[in-house]
Amino acid sequence: MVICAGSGGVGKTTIAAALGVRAAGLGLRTLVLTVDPAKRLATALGLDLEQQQAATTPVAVPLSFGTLSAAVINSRLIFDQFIREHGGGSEAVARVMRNRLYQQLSTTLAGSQEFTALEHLLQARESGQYDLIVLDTPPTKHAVDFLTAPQRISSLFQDAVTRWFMNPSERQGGLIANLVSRGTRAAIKSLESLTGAQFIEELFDFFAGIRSVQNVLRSRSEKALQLLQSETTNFLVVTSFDNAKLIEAKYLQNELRRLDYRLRAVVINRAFPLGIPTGVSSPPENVDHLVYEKVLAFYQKFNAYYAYRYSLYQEFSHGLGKDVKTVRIPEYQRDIYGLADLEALAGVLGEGGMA
Amino acid sequence: MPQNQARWDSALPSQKILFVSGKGGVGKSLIAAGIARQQAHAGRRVLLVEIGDNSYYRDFFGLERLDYQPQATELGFDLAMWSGETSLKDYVLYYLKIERVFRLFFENKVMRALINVAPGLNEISILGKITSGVRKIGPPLPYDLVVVDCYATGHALALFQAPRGILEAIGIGPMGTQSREIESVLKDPKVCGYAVVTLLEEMPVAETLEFRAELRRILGVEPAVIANKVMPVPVERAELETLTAADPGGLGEFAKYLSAIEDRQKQYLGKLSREFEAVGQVPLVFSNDPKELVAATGEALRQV
Repeated sequence: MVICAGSGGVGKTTIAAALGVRAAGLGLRTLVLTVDPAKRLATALGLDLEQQQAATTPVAVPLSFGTLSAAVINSRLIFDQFIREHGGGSEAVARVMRNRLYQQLSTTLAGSQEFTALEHLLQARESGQYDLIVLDTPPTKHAVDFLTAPQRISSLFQDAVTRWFMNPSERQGGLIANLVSRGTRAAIKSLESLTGAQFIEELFDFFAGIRSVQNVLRSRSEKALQLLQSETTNFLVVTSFDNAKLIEAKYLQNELRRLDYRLRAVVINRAFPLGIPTGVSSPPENVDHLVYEKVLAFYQKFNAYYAYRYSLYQEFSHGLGKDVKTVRIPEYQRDIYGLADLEALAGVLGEGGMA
Repeated sequence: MPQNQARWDSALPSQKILFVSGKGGVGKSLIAAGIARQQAHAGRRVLLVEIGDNSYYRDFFGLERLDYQPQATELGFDLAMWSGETSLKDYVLYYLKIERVFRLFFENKVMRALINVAPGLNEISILGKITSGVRKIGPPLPYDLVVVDCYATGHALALFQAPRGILEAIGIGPMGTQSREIESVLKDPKVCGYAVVTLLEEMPVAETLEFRAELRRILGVEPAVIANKVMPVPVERAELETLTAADPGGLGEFAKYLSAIEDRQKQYLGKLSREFEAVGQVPLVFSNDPKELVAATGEALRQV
């Protein structure tokens, strides 16, 4: 398993797809799970985004060589399906689905996108159909958000929270009186005075419903955590080239180590431009001298800028240690979206020792 | 590059809040800082705010710490980071007044979990804090302009949608009232501005147009657009072409590269110009020094 982590907009989805192409080319039965792919990339992979339900089921990618499947992770669909499946069709499940807060905001629920991505990964893994699964992760502001998702989900639905909502009929007196401390009671009162009774009511209702799937939710989160920590799961961080982003990647490496995950590679996307001459000779006779000087001055400024960035990269790469590979992807002059583009990118990743 | 008559920032001088968003990786944090710098230069008291739980500016500016309390920068504006939790704390403290009750609220483990999981509470707290000066609610915010380095487009839209989402779930009570107030501030173009940062490339431009369509639908507002990292080609096109022909394999190669970049830029600038009244442009700045970058960006924004 390969997990592509990184903050939004760094080209994670494209890199994940290219890795899939690479692995399939090496003869592995591969699945790429993407999150919110750009339209053209989705089309290249044969995914029909208009048909949301269909796109979540893996489809075969028409590669010239190898077996590759692709699917889109649809957070809402998977979460709904999860609640339905594990709630045993009870009244509580119906209540979650009816709950207005859930309907409005279930996709923004803390960690729900991460949870569904992991759930999708678990399901794909349990199907036993693939030698390799490449997971593109949801766009978080910070890559580390994804990594701690299983723990966060577990802690959100810990007993202490959901215990309050055990029996809705006791909501008024019984539960607050019996199950929560005086401090919590006062705090709920304050929250109620700030948000209004109806909000609290909806919240209670939401938790009461969620409670029925709480145990499954927790055990799946724990399973996902085990999977992330397993020997066969490799992390790959995709980042853009920016000093602050490199610092972030470094921070991420430490987090990964702390969480007992295996970081195998860092892909720096759009690191340098293509098609720049390495050096210039003296000016030919028939050119306008002034123009030549202007372009030359610009060329030198341009090169100095990228040379400095290259030194930043070397420092960064050196600091990562020997067991983490780094690959720089050049800045192509156009967007990458066709299968041929992906195959070319897969080649670059391969040359960089990514596979 | 063709220059439009209108400026991207024509509404900005009277606005109190500016949200800066864009596809991830286009450099919106730098542009937000550049705008803050330029507005501070023009004599306004400016606060640049990043939202969420993790800071970009701390590493970018190499600060020791960056938190809820605004701190002065050498660039003429103040800087702060507001998360959902700190914004809510601020609000609760303002209302509950008594520190003891406040502590009870936030030091309670169950309560913290609840705040984390309650859908929309984070979003509404952040928006509540950003709009608090305009709504004259909570602690005073002594600034003429708050520039918000907002989330990338997808998350930004979820943020802007939160007040409506909460209103539709819970119309009554304090939460409903707050949401209604916040939404009306967000919808008022005299108070709130929106800028979307893009690169002159296929995907960021496509996302810019999608973002605008969604922003129109959700809030009925028009964002301004700023193209970032525009290659500042130093000579005319004909001169580039002559050089390409005259010095193949040498500097002519570089001239060819610049021509290709210029073609692409022209194509997407044309596309944006057909869609927006004005397109702000910021050149690619060849510097890795944060202060230099922000200052140059601010200067470019002043000129366009």
